[in-house]
Amino acid sequence: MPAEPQIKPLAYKKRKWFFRLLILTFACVMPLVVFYATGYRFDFSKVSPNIISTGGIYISVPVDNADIYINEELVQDIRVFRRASYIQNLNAGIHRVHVQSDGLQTWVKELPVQSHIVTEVQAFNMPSVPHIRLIGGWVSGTGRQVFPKVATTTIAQRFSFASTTEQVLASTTISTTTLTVNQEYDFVRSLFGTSSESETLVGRVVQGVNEAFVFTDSGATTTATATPTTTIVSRDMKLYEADGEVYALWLGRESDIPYYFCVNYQAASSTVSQYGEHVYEGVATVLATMPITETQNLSGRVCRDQIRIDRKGKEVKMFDFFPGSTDLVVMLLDDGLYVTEIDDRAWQNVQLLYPGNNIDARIAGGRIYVKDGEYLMEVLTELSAQ
Amino acid sequence: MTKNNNNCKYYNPTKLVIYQLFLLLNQRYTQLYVFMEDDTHLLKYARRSDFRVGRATELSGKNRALYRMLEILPGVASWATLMGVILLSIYAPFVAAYFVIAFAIYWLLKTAFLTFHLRYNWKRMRHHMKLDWAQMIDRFEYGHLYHMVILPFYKEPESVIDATLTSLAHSNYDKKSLIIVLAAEERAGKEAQQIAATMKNKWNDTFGSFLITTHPQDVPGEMAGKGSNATYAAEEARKHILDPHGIRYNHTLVSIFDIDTVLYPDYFNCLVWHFMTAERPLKSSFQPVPVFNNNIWEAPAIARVVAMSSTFWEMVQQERPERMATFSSHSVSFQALYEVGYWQSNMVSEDSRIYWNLLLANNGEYDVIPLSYPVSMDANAAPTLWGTVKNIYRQHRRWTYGVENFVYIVYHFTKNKDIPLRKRIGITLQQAEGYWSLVTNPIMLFILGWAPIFLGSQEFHQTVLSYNLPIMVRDLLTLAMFGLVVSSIISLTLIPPRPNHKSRFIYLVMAVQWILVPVTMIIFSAIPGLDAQTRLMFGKYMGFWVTPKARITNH
Repeated sequence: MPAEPQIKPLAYKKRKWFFRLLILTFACVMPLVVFYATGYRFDFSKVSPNIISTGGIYISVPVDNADIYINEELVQDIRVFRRASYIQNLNAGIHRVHVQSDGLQTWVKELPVQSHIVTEVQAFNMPSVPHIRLIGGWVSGTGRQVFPKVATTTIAQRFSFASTTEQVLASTTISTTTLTVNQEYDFVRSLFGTSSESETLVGRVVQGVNEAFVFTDSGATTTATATPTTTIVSRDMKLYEADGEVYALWLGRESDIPYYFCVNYQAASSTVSQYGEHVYEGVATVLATMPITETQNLSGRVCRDQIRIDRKGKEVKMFDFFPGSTDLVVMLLDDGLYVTEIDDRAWQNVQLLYPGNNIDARIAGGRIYVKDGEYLMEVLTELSAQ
Repeated sequence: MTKNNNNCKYYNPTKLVIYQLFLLLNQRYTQLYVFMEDDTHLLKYARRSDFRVGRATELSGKNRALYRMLEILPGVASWATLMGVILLSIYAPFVAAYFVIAFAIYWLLKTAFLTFHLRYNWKRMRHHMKLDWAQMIDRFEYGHLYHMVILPFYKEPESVIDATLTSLAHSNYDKKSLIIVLAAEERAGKEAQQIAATMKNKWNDTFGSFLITTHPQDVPGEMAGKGSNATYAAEEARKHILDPHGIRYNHTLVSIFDIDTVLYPDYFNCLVWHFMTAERPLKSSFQPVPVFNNNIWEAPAIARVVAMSSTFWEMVQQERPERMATFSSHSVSFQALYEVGYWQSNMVSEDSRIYWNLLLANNGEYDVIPLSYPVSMDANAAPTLWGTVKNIYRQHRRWTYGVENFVYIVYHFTKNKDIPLRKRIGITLQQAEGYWSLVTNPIMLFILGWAPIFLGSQEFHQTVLSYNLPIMVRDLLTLAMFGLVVSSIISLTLIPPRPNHKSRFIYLVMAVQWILVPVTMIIFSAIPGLDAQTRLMFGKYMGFWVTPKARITNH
């Protein structure tokens, strides 16, 4: 038996050396990590490798499985969250971003990326084929929408340009005695000012959802029979019409302003080339209000408070915020219902939601309703799971 | 055997008279020495009126102001750090982000450092458990040594006490050399007395001596708790066993065990080997590894993680004894204890304080010798999960109230100039870092690490740094999880055999349970630590909370 344990206590000298090694590791790793975290990269692509500074793009997408392309190259899985991606290691300059998914319209934008800065953007993709849910005057015992006095083929032909996942019952011979009156139908009809029956229900639903809306004609919170408005406020964002144009105006605190109101200003020329002349006009207006001493050496974030919405040179019949968003606008133009983004860096994506030159639209209760001739429907902005 | 000649090297009659006069004038201190005829047996520094100070209110004048300032300091430092990170995140988010990255790297390296120590001690402890210590101490003449085992208890059930005594009876050591002191509390009532009597009946013949002491309740100036009970018991044992039998104090090793301490068979052999080979055995305390595994199969996952984390911390400390203080169950010579008047009776964390008392009284010439040999204790578990959470929180708040020792140490470091300055500064910095990091590190790492992202300006939010910060911190913490993997493996080797009624599946749960560490670090380390420091900062002094030791029987 040994006189003492073979495993001795950890020697002080050994511990000291290990401690020193860790200090040395800290001293070496810390600057490298900080350099990496701030966007510096070692560029091996050149003949003589050197250090470059990079930026990034943070993009929110509307669906889980959307493909993101940067400069026509598919970005591999770099999701930070299920519907947001952070793409780093991008060289300073203009980058073309595509977001696409099966059955959805493609969103494209050219965005400037600056060293050490992340350009934030939110994509949106409406269904490439209008996706609708018809609302009939009656409901069957199984909950189907019923269209009496209309042939199935008539409806099928009438909406051949659209898709739906909800079956309807249409028949010229069906009796309404066994059917239930569809309250939703009355509600939607009332939105378009064609019914006075469901005032209570309409008032309850719409008021609950659109409390923040302010109408210039009445100056009061919306009512059930509201007509298209010229000013709408949601949270701190105001949409208003002036001289036939629609504008988005930020009303909130400057510290909370959405990213797309702001640009990284370095010079007039670079702002024009990176964001477009229309953006520079807004920036120039802001700069004009600043003291000259401040603007002379200005380099950094400049925020406008107003953006004009692209109406494609057409007349705007109605506009409203996209349900649940203050970054997107729903506009009824001459030839259909569109969704457009307020973000006007480079250009504003405008996507057709429902075509037609004789349609009307309303937004209530977080849903988009369209009246196309005699038909009422909800236009869906997301493809159903099936 | 002859009675020990007390150390009278520092005896000074004039000073003694003045001191006794002071005691008469100041009732607060009188109780501390009520059982001692005089203080001539105390080391010179231990005779100071403020040697056994528990809190600022026991002092007066400048000393009181200094002590109070020191009581405020830890809380202020911790709160200032946490508030500083928040303010930095708001007003200087870039600086805050660099700080957070540096801190995450520091944490990763600290994890590597601690894991290195943990793994080494695990190896050493397993080696120690395999050794035949009885044979190893054969070469020494140790027959003159007595072991006084002090077992303070309150209202713990008979089964817990019986298990402890059974383990003592099963130790591979001459039981006739063991003096068992079962230290009851008067305030625990007749039931405790009955249990003590039952235990004495059962075990009296097994050991050399079996003494029951009953610590009187409501002694003015005393804090009801383990310290006051143990001190009373030690003095009673001296008067009724050591002195009458002429057992020398320097031949008596005192092992003070929490009542749930179950010994491994070779504990006393291992202790004797370390005592006999120590450089200065009478100026050393001997610290085993408290493994909180008695009831590990009955404890919920959260209790297991917290218990094992405490064990691991002690294992790490075993490999860096210069940072050690005694904790929980430990052993020390009676002579050393007698020279400082035993444990303090007026404060909470007496198990560590006794080491600082000894270090100060011996002018810095005092060590803690790690035994790297385990003693089993109970994980803190109540019949319900919520009860367990509450008990663990309270226990850890009591442990982290050990920050009162920092105040005590620094205060006395300003007084005892006989301790080398370098040592005083070194210990102060070590202790300050320990109490500061205990509270601030988990909160900074797992909560405030994200503060720059939520509180920073728009200018910061649009930078690559802002976006990379959570990714970098996440990656660094994921790397640090390697330490948890090692912990998980080691913990599985420290658990007792699986009872038949427990599923094998629990092994898997025990391996995975370590993902709870970030939560337990905040809830059972940082927050109770901050709670304790804040109480001390505001002078809301804590009392001794007795951890319930009832074992769960859910099968």
